[in-house]
Order: sequence, then structure tokens, then C-alpha cells
Amino acid sequence: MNELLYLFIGFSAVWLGIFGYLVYVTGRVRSVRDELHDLRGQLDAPQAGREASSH
Amino acid sequence: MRQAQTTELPRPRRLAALREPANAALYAALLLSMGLALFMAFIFAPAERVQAEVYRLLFVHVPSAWLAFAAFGVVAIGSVMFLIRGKSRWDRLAHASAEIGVLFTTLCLVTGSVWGRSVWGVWWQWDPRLTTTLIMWFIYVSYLALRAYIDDPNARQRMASVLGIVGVVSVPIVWFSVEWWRSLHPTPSVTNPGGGMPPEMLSALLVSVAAFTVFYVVLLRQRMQLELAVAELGSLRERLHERNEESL
Amino acid sequence: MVRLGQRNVLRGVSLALAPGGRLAVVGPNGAGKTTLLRALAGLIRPRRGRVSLRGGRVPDDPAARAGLGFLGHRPPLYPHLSARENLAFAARLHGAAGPPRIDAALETVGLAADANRLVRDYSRGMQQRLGLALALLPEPDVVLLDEPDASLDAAGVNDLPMMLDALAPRAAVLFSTHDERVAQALDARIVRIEAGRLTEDPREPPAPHPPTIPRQPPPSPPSFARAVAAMIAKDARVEWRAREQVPTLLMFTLLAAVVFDMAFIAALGSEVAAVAVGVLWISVLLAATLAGTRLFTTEFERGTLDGLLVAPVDPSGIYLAKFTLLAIETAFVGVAQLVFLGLLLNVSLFQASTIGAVLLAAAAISAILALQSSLVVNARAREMLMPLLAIPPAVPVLLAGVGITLGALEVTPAGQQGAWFGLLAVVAVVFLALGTVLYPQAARA
Repeated sequence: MNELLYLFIGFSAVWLGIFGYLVYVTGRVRSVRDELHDLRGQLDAPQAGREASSH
Repeated sequence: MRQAQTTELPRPRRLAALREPANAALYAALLLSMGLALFMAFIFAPAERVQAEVYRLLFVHVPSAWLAFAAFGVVAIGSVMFLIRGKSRWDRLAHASAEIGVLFTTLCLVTGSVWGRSVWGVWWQWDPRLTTTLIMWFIYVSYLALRAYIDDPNARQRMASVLGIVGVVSVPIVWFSVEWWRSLHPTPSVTNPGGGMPPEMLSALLVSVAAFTVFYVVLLRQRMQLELAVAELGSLRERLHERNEESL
Repeated sequence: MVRLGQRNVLRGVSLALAPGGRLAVVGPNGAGKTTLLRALAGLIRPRRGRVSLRGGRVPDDPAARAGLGFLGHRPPLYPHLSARENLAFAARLHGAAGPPRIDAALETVGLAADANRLVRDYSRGMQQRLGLALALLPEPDVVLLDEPDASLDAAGVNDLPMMLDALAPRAAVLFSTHDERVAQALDARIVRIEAGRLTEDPREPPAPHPPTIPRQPPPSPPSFARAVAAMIAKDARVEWRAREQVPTLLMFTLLAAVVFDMAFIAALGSEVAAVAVGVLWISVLLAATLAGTRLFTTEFERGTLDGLLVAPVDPSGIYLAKFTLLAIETAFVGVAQLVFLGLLLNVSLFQASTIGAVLLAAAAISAILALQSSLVVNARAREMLMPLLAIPPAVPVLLAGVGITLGALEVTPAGQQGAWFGLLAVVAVVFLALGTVLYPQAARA
């Protein structure tokens, strides 16, 4: 029985590791793209609008 | 003059549209291969004579080791190509692959440790393969650290490429360590004809390796997209900064 | 096109300059003057386009740098050498003529009276004059000066045309300045640079110096071995004067011996030889890491790395010189540690095989560290980073050293020593090869 526990620990470590990493990277891609979108908006905005939105 | 400052980035929309179906296909392949690998590992492959069930850790332990080697090989290729061609794309490939390689090496060490606790009764042994794998892990962690500590992108890319080439020396050392020194690890039994593995186990192992390869490709694509987005963010910030300065 | 960081600093710049011509690049701060000059000197790799001197591509062809005089923002001077020694070193690196030329250069820039003083004691203006002498020393046919008037007093600025006429009469001179009067005083054509673009066609030919001046042959670069020897001799002299490394390292290793022995004192009994061996190799590795961190960073921080990279020598020579210096220091410290530990723990460590192991291990560790050190020159917190980079690849050296020494002390059977020596030699050769091939790639970002 004990060895099934080790088997379980080993497999869950692998799946958690891989999927955790995938979720982390995907989340980062999303947040960076959102920020990119905001910045593009600022760059394309007319002069006055940009000054209002930039800090 | 300002409008001439196009960066290399804004990518054609067409490419983005093409990416979606490719992503869907990859994720489908991921789920499929993962299900198949689990089936093969737990149901198809028979229990082992001595170790009964726990040997099934083999089906995650060995693929993560092989994929780590492959990932570090890709780091070296990306690094060499970057030094030859000077295109950031190659450096992004090397960086993404190094991070995933470190992930797989970590998983390999963790599963090995759990397996060792069950079979040898200890979490760690100063066995040649364990020791060399740990050193390889340190080398690529230091590669990621070097990248994090250099601010100038040009210098970061060049220095990291050099280290990415130097680091790959550790891969054959880990691989051959079981032959060079007495080890608790078996010598290669897959490449070795007639080496002790029953065909069901072997095919389960190969399916697992295939599944891990799909994971690697999915992770690599995602990580490289992140890399690209971060680079684009940097150049946009710079442009915004320049504009704000000009308008002062 | 030259890209620095995330922005393109220079775009579409095209320049051609004939022998004897003088060209001033005038522009405000941040316009790209320094980037232009550094790209021309081969210190930065352009993303696109090429820089050629005499038909050779600048960053990768050492011969193209023969006869190139460069003075950047900071003169590449060693504070612990005198003005004359700095010039003599540059002369050996560039294959330039000997003492008479050095005397003439010192005379021209007005430093003859201070020639034997250490540069450490020079004022900023004197350093700039010496920097000019250094750039013009090898009778260059192409001279690149980044704001040569910076930090010169009025008299110095007035002397600039005379210095150029006297030391490099036939050279094509390109310099940057934000003061147009300097450009006029030097009779130079003016090109404006703004936001990375040249705003005036520099190929228009109102050349004040007639382009009929015959091109002079560039000085022949020194042989690779001579250049490496010059760099080693320079480092040795700096170390002799500054005493920055060896005494501190000796104290460090002695201290390591004492604290490790104290930490292991409870185990000191039958295991004394094993403890001595462990302490020996850990302390030597740590001492080498400490010294290795500084190999390239001191040159980088003083601005002298630029001086080495501008010389017509393949950059792998710089790696080999630094490797040699560190290997000598590490071997010295290691042999000293054999004596210290032998005395402190009453173990007969001082034997032929252990000395041999220390010498070979010093070479292997130094081959690793010299390359890693070149990678961290512009990293933040590099002192923290270096141990992380350097120790993992040095583990085989540690294991081999321990194996040989344990065999010598007859803790383990002595049969395997040959294999351990082989491992040391393999590590040394592999990393020397990697460093020689890869350092030139890391040298220029």
C-alpha cells in the first residue's frame, strides 16, 4: 500500500509541475498582452489624450 | 522622424489567425497523448517482478529526463544560431527551452527521489547519475540567473548564448555517468537490443516519451510567445518614453 | 542600424572618409554620437550594415583594427601604471614603434615632466591628454575621438589641432563634440546627428585637407603570442603595484583553513586526513572564485577593456592572458594551502602528486572561471552571481583533486590517481578550448 502512495506522489508532482507551469505562462502571456494593448492605445492616442492617460 | 521608428514587431494579423487552429490541434494532441500515456502506464503495462507497482514511476521519470536532455540540446542549438545569425528569435528559443529543461530536470529529480525513497529507503543517494543530474540542474539554473541579472538586452543575449553552449557539455556527462562509474542506475536498456525490458513496458515508455514531447512543444510555443510579448512591451515602453520626453 | 537596448540608436548612417580628412559629428546629448563611434571602433555590433576599415570588417577582423586610434569617454588607463608604462603597454598591443615614439607622444601632449608618475595621481584633464597620446601612439591612419575636448582646459582644447598634426598628420580623423567651435578649430567638415540620423550628406566634398595625401601603410599588428605576453606582464605589474589579489587571497585561504579545521575539530581523530583534503580543495575553489570574479570586471569598470578590444589582437588572447594570470595565482595559493594545512593538521600534504594535482587543478578551475567571469561584466550583483556560475562546472575538478589527495595520503588505495589526473586534464583542455572559441563572441555585445 505504501508504495502506491509513493507512486501517487510521483505522478501528481509531475502533472502539477507541468500544468502549473503551463497555467503560469499562459496567464503571463495574457497579462503582458493586455498591457501591450493599453500601451498601443496610448501611443495611437492624440497628444492631449496621451498626456491625460500617462503618468 | 518619429513615424519611421517602427520596431521589428507588430506581426501581421494573418499569422495570428493561423495560430489559433494550430493551438487547438496541439491542445487536442496534448490531452489525447496524456490519456493514452496514463492508460499505457497504469493498465497496459504489467506489474514488475521485483518492484510490483512503484516501478510505474519509470513512465514519468525517464521521459522527463530525456526531454530535459532534448531541451538543453535545443538551448545549445538556439545559442549557436543566435551567435551566427544574430536574430533574437534564436535567443528566445534558447531561453524558453532552458526554462522548460530546468522544469523537466526538477521533475526528474523529484520523481527519482520519491522512487528512491520507496526502493532504496532514502530520499537521496550520492550516486553518479543523481550527482551529475543535480550539477546539470545547477548549471541551467545559473543560466537563467545570468539572464535575469543582465539588463542590457544585447549583452544578455550574447552572454547567455555562450553559457548555453558551455552548459550542454553536462548532458553527455549525465548520460554516460552510469557507464563511467558504478551506479545504482541501470545502463541504457532501451537502446540496448535484448536489454531486459518486456515489450509492453517498452511500448508504454515510448508512448510516455511521445506524450512528454507534445508537452514540451506546447510549453515551448507558449513560453516563446511570452518572450516575444515581453520584448514588444519593452520596445513600446521605450517609444512611449521617448515621445513623452519629446513632448516636454 | 545599431540597436541598444530596446531602441534603435542609429539608423541609416553612412559615412566614408578619405586619408587626411577630418569630420566632426555634432549633436546634442543622447543623439547617438557615442554609439556611432563605438560601432566604428568595433566595440558594438551593428544589427545591420557593416563597418569596414581598409576593406576588413571591423568587429571580427583584428587586422582591420591595425592602425585604428580610439578614445572613448574614459581613457583606457591603468591607475597603477605610470604614463610611460601605460603607453608602453599600448605600443606592445598595437605593434607600434618603441621609446622614441612614446617620448614624442608624451612631449606633444605636454606630459613629459610627469611621465613617470602613476596615473592614479593624474587630474582628469591630464588623463584626457594621456588618453589622446594613447589613441595617437600607433601612428593610426584612422582616428576616432569621442568628445576629445571633454575635461580638457582651454589650453588643452587649443592644443588639440597641434597634437593631431604632430602625431597623426595623415590620418582620417572622425570625432564627436557638442561644441561647433572645436570642429572649426580643427578645420573639420561638420555633420549633424540627431535622434540617430545624420542630417547632412557627409559625402559632399569640401575637404579642407586635400585627399591627395598618400595613404600610409598601417603598422603591422604584433604576433598573437607577443600580445598575450604583453597583457600577462601588464597584469603582473599591476598586481605587484596594487597588491589587490594575492595577499588577500592568501589570508582568505589561511582563514578558510582555520575555520574549517575548527568546524571539523570534533571529527579530528582518525579522519584528520580526510578533513584536511576536503578543506584544501574547498578553500582553493573558493579563493579562485573570489579572484576570478575580478578578472574581467576590473578592466570593465576602469574602461580599460575597451582599450584591449580596440587593439589589433584576436580577443581570445585576452581570455588566454586572464586565464594564465588566474592559474598562476590559484596555483600559488593552492601550494601555500598545502603548507598551511600540513602544519595546522600535521598531515604530510606536501608531496609531488598533490603539488601536481594543485597545479593542474589550478589550470582547470581558471579555464572555467576566466570564461564565466567574462560573462558577468555587465551583470548586476556579479559578485553574488559568480559562485553560482562557476562552482557547478568546477565540481569535477574538486572531485578529482580530492581523489588524488586522498590517494596520496593513503586514505584510499592509490591506484586511481591516473584517471583523476586524466579528468583534470580533460576539464582544463575542454574549457580552454571553449573559452578561446567563445570569449570573442562574448567580448562585444
